[in-house]
Formats: sequence, structure tokens, C-alpha cells
Amino acid sequence: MTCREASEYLQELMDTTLAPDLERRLRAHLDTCSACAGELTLQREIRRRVAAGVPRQEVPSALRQKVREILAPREKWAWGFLPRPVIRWGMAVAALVLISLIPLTLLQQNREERIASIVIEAVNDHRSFAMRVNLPTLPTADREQVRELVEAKVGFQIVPPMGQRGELRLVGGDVTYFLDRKVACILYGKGSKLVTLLVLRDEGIEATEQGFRQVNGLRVYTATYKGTGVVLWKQDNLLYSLVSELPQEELLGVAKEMAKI
Amino acid sequence: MFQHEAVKHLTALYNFALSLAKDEGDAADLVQETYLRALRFRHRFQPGTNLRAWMFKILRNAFIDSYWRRSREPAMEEAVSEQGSATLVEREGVEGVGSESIDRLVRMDLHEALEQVPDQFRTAILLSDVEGLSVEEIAEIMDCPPNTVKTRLFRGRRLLRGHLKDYGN
Repeated sequence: MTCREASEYLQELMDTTLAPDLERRLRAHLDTCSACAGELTLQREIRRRVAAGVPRQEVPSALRQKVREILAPREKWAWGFLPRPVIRWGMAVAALVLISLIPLTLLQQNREERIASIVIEAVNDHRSFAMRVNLPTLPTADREQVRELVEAKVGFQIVPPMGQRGELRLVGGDVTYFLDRKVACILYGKGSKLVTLLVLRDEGIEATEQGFRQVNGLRVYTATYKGTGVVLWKQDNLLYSLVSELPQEELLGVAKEMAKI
Repeated sequence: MFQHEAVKHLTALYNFALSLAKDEGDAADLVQETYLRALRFRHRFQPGTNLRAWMFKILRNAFIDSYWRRSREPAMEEAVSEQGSATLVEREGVEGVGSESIDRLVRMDLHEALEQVPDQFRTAILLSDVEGLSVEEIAEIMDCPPNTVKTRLFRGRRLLRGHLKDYGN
């Protein structure tokens, strides 16, 4: 084993996660190489001192209280005196009533509300990718791979559009749901910002003419939610929703480049 | 129960937040945001995997996010190069450093020495040596390959020793 290899395995030796064979070879090297043995001593000592010497700060009681409230909002319920089965059955009945009301509420939902729910869902999906809690199923810069993934799942053809000036980097693809349909998610990077393109069938979203305006030859609906910009446009029976923290003007520019106009 | 398990990691998360944010108010905000996100996305947590590592990852992402919101670049770029295997085997100054001299040196202010180490190195060291997380878990939290974590730990400890030594002189 060389010194370079040995230095790469020192951490695992300290963590005791090294495979037996590698450990045997590393120890044989350490027996004959004083430099590497010295390095191990140094790493171990610093590690021990950090473990023992970094003090634990107490959590302020106000923060502890807030976290408790975040985790247990039910403690605030005025119905705490009710026995649990009553709450459970009550909730089940309430859920059934709500479910039976859904078709009615959908019918009543006016056009703007539908667009608003698309905007909200799109921003939430974008933000969960941006905060990297929800990693894309397919993190890749390969357009063909993204096309294959989403086409196999959403049931319509979609070639990941790219900006004409090559400022967009493809970074991944995924499929999600909102309203009652599957949505193709195509993720791009532009500078340090994430740009998410969500594409869905526009059937039943006839509302898309309302609130739309003409910007540089493209009919768009623009909105901002939670500080994140959204640009919607319709094309070939599909609704495109572009979401990013980019300035609105820049986002419109990207939308225009993506749309075939 | 998720809530019951999650609250156990409050102290570790607050201390990690302090090491990132350097300000008690910001650290408290980060911890609250972490719990809100963890609760919102708890269906994505896979039972049986390490909840603590998962929450550390959420916290670090929330920290990076807060930098985005302020339109500032996260302090991701370090002045010290992390890559390059040659740096991993540099040996200057290591020979002859025995346990006794290290003892003398590290009696200097560890906290201040840690402040001198670049953020990515310090974070890796704290997650490993204080929180006891594995290389794989740290790689997941810091969004980088395990080998990069090993390099950060290795080089970070050597940098730390260097700063502690300066105090000794």
C-alpha cells in the first residue's frame, strides 16, 4: 500500500468501518511508515480533542417551546378532553364528508382558482426541489434520458426545451401530480438558481385564457407566490409552468426562448 | 412516533445551526425552519434510516436556502482547495509531532482555532467528531462524494492543528 492510499483509509480506520483485508494491509503499512503512523496519531488526537473540547450550547427555552409547538399543534386543541376513539371516528366521518364534497367544490371552483392552485402546486414542487428535500428521480444532463423518463410516465410527448442561448443547464427530470393529472418536471440550472419547468395536459383548464396577457409575442400568465416567480403558457394542448427565483423579466425571457415562437 | 423521535435531536441541531449561522437568533430560526420542513416532508423520511442525519441535511439545506433568499452566494467556495490527492499526502511538519506536543498545542483555544478553518472543513469535522456521524452520512448531508468528506476531514484536522500550533508559539 502506498502512502497516498493509506491516507485515504485513515478515517475509516478511526471509524472502524474498514474492510478486514484493507485494515490488515493498512496496518502493515503503518508498521513500516513512520510518516503515516505520525499522521494517524495527529488525526486521532485532533479528533479526540474536538470531541472533548467543543462545548454543547444549551437550547434557549423559547426555542424549545416553539419547536414543541411546531411538533405538537394538537396540544392546543380545545377538544383534548375527548377520548381518542371519539376524535378518530369524528375525523373519519369529517374526511368522508369532505371527500364527498370534492366533485362539488371542483365544479364550483372558478377559473382563477384553478390557475391559482396550479401556481401554488408548481411553486411548492419547485421549492421542494430547490431545498433538495425532494431530489429529482433522475439527476442528469442528458435530454434523451429525461425525455424517456417523463414520456413513459406522463403519457404525452415532451422533449425538454432548452434556451436558445445555451444559458440553461439541464439538471434532472421527475414526474409529479397536481390537480388530477401527471406532470412532467424538468429541472434546469441558470447561474446559481434552479429553474423548474412543469408540463401538464391542458384539458379542462380552459381557464387559461383568463388573466393571460401578451408579452413579446407569447401569451402568458405571470404570478408570484412565496417570493417565487411563475410564468404559465399554453402550447400544443399542454400547459407549461416555469418556476424560479430568477427576476420576473429574466424568467419571461427564458419562457420565450423555450416556447416555439 | 416521528414527533417524539425528532425532538430528541433538538440540542444537536441547535449546536449545528450555531456552527453554521454564527448568530443565536439566526440559529434559532434555522432550527424552527428545519422542524417545519421535517414535519411537512416526514412522509419522505424512510423509517429505519438515520433520522438525525436526515434532519441535519434539512438544516444545512435550509441554511443554504436562507443565503439564496438574501441573494447572497453561500459560503461554499473555500480559499483552500479541497481536491487534489497530492495535498492529501503532504507530510510537511507532521513528522516528529508526538502526542505530548499535540497535548500542549491543543490546550490553546479550540473554539478560536475552529473559526480559522474554512466552513466546509469545520462542518465535516464537527459532524464527524462531535456528532459521531459516518463519512457516508456526512456526504449525504453535505451533498458531496464520500471521498470529498474524507479529504475535508483529513485536511481540516491538519489545518486545525496548524492554527493551534500558532497559538502555542
